[in-house]
Amino acid sequence: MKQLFGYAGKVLRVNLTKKKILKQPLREDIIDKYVGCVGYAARVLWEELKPGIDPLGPGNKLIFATGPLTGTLCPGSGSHEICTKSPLTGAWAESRSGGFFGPKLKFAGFDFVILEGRAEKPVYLWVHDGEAEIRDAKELWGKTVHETTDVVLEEIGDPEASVACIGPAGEKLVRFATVMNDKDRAAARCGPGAVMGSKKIKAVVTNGIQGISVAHPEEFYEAVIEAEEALKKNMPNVHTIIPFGTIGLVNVYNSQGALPTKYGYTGYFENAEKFSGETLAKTFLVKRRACFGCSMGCGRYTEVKSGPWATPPHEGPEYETVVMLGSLCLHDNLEAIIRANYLCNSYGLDTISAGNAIAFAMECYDKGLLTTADTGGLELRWGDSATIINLIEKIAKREGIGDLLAEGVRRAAAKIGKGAEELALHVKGLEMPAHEPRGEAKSTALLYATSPRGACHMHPYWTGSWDFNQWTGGLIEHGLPWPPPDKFAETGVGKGLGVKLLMLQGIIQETTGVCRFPAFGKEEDCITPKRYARMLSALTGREINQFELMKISERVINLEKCFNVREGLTRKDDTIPEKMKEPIATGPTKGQAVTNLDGMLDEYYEACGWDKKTSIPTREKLEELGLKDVADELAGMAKTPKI
Amino acid sequence: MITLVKVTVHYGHPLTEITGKAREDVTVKKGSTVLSLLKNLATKYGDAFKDQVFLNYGRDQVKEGTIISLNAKYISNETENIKVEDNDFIGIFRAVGGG
Repeated sequence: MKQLFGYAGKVLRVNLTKKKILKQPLREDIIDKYVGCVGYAARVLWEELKPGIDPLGPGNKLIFATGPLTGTLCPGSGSHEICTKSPLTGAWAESRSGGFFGPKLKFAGFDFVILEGRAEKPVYLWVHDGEAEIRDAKELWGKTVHETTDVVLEEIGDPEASVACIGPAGEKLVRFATVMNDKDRAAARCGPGAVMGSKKIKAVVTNGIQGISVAHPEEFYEAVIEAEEALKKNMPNVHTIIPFGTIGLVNVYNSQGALPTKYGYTGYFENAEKFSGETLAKTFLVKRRACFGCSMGCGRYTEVKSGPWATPPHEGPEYETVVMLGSLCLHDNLEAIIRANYLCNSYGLDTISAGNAIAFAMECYDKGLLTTADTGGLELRWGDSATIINLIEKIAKREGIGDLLAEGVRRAAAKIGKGAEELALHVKGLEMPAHEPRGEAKSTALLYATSPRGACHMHPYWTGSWDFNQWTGGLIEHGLPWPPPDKFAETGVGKGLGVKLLMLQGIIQETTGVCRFPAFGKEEDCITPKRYARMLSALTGREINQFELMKISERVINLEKCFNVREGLTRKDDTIPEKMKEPIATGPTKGQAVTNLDGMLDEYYEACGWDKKTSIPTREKLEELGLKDVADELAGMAKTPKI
Repeated sequence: MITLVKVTVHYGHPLTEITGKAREDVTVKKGSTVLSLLKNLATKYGDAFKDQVFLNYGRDQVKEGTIISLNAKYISNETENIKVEDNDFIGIFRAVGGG
C-alpha cells in the first residue's frame, strides 16, 4: 500500500463478542470523499449499522476517530471524536474530546478503533505500537474514572499512556454517560459511555512512538505558522479564554441576557458573578491546562481545599458546567459546582445533560409534578447545593429518582406525564446546553433544531459566533451574509444560509480531527477554511482548496442527516423546546422569544437543497454530492418518505 | 426638578478588572444618553477604562472590538443618540469565544 501522509494508515477493528482483532488498511475511497475522523466514521456507520438497531445492543458500533491533522503541529490537534448511534437520541452521535488520546492513538499506529459486539465479561483494550490486546477488566468494573485511570496505567506500566474509560455511570447505562480520557477530558454528549458500558468495555488505552509523516514539511510548517500567527491576534482569546478559560463567558453572557437560568424561566441571574471566571481565578484555580499541542490552554485546574465541598485537584469546571449546575438550577455556590463537576467526571456523566436533568427535576418538584413520594423523601429545592450533589450520586448509580433521570429528560418527562413533556429542555432527546437561544441569537435556535445530534451549541459549529459575536469564521468569500443580521431577527435576513455555511466550517474541524476553538474569529485572527486547506494540502500531499473542503463538509452533513432520516427522523424532529417559544421573564432580554422557527427552517432547508416538507435531502442534492447510493437506499426503505 | 433613573451596567473582562466588579447600578439624569453615561464611567474609572472603551482622545467614539449593548441590543455606533430609561441594562464588553 502506498504511504498515506498525515494518516497512521490503519484501522483497528475489535469484535468483542468473538474476541477478534483485525488490523485493516484505511479505505482511500473514504478518505478521498470524507477526509477522515467524523467524515470517515459517518461513512462506516452508514454502511455497517442496520437502521433501527438498539443503540445499547451488540449490533451497535462505536468508533474512536482521529483525522489527518490530529497529533500534528496544527493548532488544536489534541482531539478525537467518538461516533456511534446514540442511546439518548436514537440518532447520529458524535462526541468530541481534547487531551492526548487522539494523538497517542495515531502514534500507536491507528487512525480509528472500531468496537463491535459485546464482551462476555468486562475487558479493556490496550493499543500500542501497532499492536492491540484485549485484557481482563473484572477488577476495574465499578471503579471511578480517576481510579480506573490510575490502576490501568500501573498495570500496563506506561505512565505516559492515555486512558479513555467509562465510570460507574457508563456501566449502569446512564443514557448520558461519558467516555472520559486523561482523567478529566470528556467525550460527553449523546451517551457514548453507555454504549461502551453495554459492550462491557471499560477502557481503551493507547500509546506509541510512531510519528506522523508529512508530505511537504516546509510548506506544512509555514502553513502552521500562518495559523498560529493569526490566533495570536485573536483578542477574545487573549482577554477571556486564555486568562479565565471558557467560564470567562459567564459575566458577558449574563450581561446579554443569554445565561440559561431557572430552567428556561430567564436568561439573567443576579448572582452569576459568584461562579464567573474572574471569581474562579481569585479563589479555587490552581493552574491552567492545555491539550496536546495547544497554544490557547482553555482548561482550568481547580481544587477546593476544605469545607463541605472539599474537592481534590482536577480539571474543570467549564462554562457549560457552571451554568448547567449553577444558574440553570438557580444555584450560585462555586465550591459545590466544582465538587459536582468532579463527581460527574469521576462517575462519567455529561455535566450538560446531568445539570439539565437536575434542573428539570427541580422544576417538576416546584410545579408539583414530582413529590417527595417520587423522590424518596428528597426535597428538590431550587439552588440547594446538597440536592445537586445528591442527585448526581443517584443518577450515576441509578438509585431512586436518579434511575428516572438517568434516562434523560425526554424519557423522564414522558414517564412523569402530567405536562412534564412541555417543560423538558431538549431537542431529539439531547439536553439543551448553556446558550439561551432567545437571548444569544435566533440562529442558535435554528442550530439546536437542525444539528444532527440534537440540541447542541458546538456541533457542527457555534453559530452565535456570527450574529451574537460579529465574527466571520473566514466565510465571507463563501457567501456568509455580512455584516451579520440583527441577532434577534429570524427570517428574511439570511439566517438559513448563514447557519448552513457556519456548520460547514465546523465540519472541517470534525473531518480533519482538530479542536473547534481556533476556527472562531474574524478573517485575520482565526483558522479559516483557507488556512485549514493550506495545512491539509501540505500535510497529506493531496492538494485541496477551501471550496473543495467545504464541499466535503456538505457531503458529511448530508450523510449525517440521511443517517437520521434512515432512523425515521423527519422535519417534525427539527424543533426546539416549547419554552423557547415563550418570552424570557426578566433581565436585558425580557420579552424575547422564538416566534417563527418554521420560517427559519424553511430558509435553512432551501439553503441546503433539502425538501422543505420533510427536511430530507433531495435526490438531486445527494447525487450532486456523490451520494447516489445513499439516495437509493433511502428511496428503497418502506417507512422513509420517498425522495 | 431633576428626575433620576437607575440603569444596571454589566462589564466583561478586562473591564471587570478595571472596575473591580461585574455589575453595578448607576443613577443618571433622565434623558441622559448612553455616551454621557460612558463618559461618566470613564471619569470614575480613569485612563484604563478610557483605553478599553473609547477610540479617540475626545472620547466620543467607541473603540472597535468593544461592544456596547442596551437591553442586549448592540448600539456601539449609536451611543450619542440613544437615551437611557429607568431599569435599562447596559453591557460593555469585548466579544468572547467558545464555551
